[in-house]
Amino acid sequence: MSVIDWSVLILTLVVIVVYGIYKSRGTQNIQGYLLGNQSLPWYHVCLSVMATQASAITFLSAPGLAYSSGMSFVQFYLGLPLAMIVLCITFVPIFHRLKVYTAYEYLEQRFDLKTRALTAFLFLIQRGLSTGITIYAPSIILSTILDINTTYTTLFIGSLVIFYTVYGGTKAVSYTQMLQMSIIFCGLFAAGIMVVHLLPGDIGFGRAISIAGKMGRTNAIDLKFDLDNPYTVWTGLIGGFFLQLSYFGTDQSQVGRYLSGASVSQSRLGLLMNGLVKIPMQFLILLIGVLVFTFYQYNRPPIFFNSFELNKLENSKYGPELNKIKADFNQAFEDKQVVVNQMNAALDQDDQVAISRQRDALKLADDKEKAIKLQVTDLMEKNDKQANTKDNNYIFLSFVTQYLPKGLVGLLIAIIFLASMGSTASALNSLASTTVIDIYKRLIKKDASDSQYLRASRLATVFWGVVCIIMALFASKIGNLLEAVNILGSYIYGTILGVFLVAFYLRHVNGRAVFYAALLAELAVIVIGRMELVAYLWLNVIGCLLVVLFSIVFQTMMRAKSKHITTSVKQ
Amino acid sequence: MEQDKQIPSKPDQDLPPFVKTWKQFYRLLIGWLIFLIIAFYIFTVYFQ
Repeated sequence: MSVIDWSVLILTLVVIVVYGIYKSRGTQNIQGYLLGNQSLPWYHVCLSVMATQASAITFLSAPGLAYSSGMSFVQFYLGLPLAMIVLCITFVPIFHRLKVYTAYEYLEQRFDLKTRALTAFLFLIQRGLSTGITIYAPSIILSTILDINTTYTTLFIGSLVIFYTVYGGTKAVSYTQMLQMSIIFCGLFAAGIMVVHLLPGDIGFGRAISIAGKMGRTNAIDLKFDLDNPYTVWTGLIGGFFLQLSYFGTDQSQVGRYLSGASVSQSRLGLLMNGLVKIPMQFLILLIGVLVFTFYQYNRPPIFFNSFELNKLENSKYGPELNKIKADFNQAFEDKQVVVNQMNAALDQDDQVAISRQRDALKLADDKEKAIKLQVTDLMEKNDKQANTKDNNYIFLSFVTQYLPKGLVGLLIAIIFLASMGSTASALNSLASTTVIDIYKRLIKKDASDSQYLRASRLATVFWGVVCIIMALFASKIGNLLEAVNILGSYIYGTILGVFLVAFYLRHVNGRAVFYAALLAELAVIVIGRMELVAYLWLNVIGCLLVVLFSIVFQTMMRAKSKHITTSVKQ
Repeated sequence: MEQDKQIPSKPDQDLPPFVKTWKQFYRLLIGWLIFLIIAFYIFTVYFQ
């Protein structure tokens, strides 16, 4: 990176952190620290929930996914607007009316302490683990640029977030997120324009998409009903709806964001605006990945985008073998370029027969390239069993650092940092809220002073920050980070959502029934997930429905038993 | 400056912008979702 890039990166980070600290100064009570005094307008809520969900993983993995397998991932978000509507009708008014700090507080009022503790515990496990991955994602950027171990970069990012989150709490999180999202939108827009600008002169925006489309990268919608395919319209609408509903409705990292809204209306408006903007935003991020894909049809891509792993292989005893594979790869690229040019000519002439023929030829060329890349990853595994053989997360990063102009590289890398910092800060804040409100205040020290709870919240933030950093250090062995986070969430969110839906809609079910129903459902989800019987998004639906079903069955059984005892006593 | 942006906490009496009721806003969002699915479908078919 050049001096200009470093300056842009450091300046952006410093401005964001100082701004967050400045805006959150004077936070002296637990209400202000955990809920921002419930004073924020809708646009704060909207940008804050978006920044919490859009982690650095979104900006690293999503373009990589589009590059390697197309845009089908956009369907993952189709259930989000529907989930926002249900949240606005049910969750938001209830949480605001009861003036809760965490979503799990409500469950004690509705059921009992053990149900509140169970859901809080599940949340702490899920969020604690996935935040580790959220911190790890951008740390690989610095590691690639500086060619140092990810351990040091993970420690740097984690410490930076802990610093301002501990100081300013929810307000610092929310104010920094608003600025972060503004910079992110501008940076991504600039990146999109630059990719098109870097394409050959005769390839415009539409033609770039056309060429990628002929190679199967514009598959935004798949109408087939296939339980094994994680990205179809139906999986997105049904599975995605349940996942988003449980994420926004029961995950404290999101509940905490919209509870900071000044009123029910401000929280609602923030969530609904998120429903309007989120899918187009995700589509545009994937589209950048597609454009990068077309760019690499005219510029030879590296045989493997993770330069750290590639260098390791080059310097091993397998170096000569790698060189042979590289020669094959270069030849395959030259051959493919001929076909790409022929496709471009066929598109110019709108010759449908030639287009169809070139499409088949391009598919063959693409498959050949993938097969050669597979040889490289096989060799990497042979050389080092612990090698990271997935390079999806490095594709966009590699393009940015190699081809974008000075200054913009620094800005885009800053964006990835900011995105990670935003979602990590929310997560730490919510982990601290749940630990203090649902565990410490409820189970350990019920009558402490406000300042003691504030101190406990700050300590809890530091504690979870350290835990997440440790988890991040283990994240390097996971392939696609974005999927890993979603899979982990799918194991737990469905069960928690089921508990909340029973609480809202099945008034006759009591705490004992729902508690055992949740335990049994979670066990079933783990078994189904481990056996890979369905695509992971469906685990949300299954977990949720099983909790509802088991709750009804247990409640009926308990009622029958109670009637039987009453009758026996009377006799 | 900070105080200017903060809105005092108040009960649910605000109406949504652009439309008259929250129900209409929900319908608008569902319409937007349907539009996006159709637009993405056309995008998929057109470019493949």
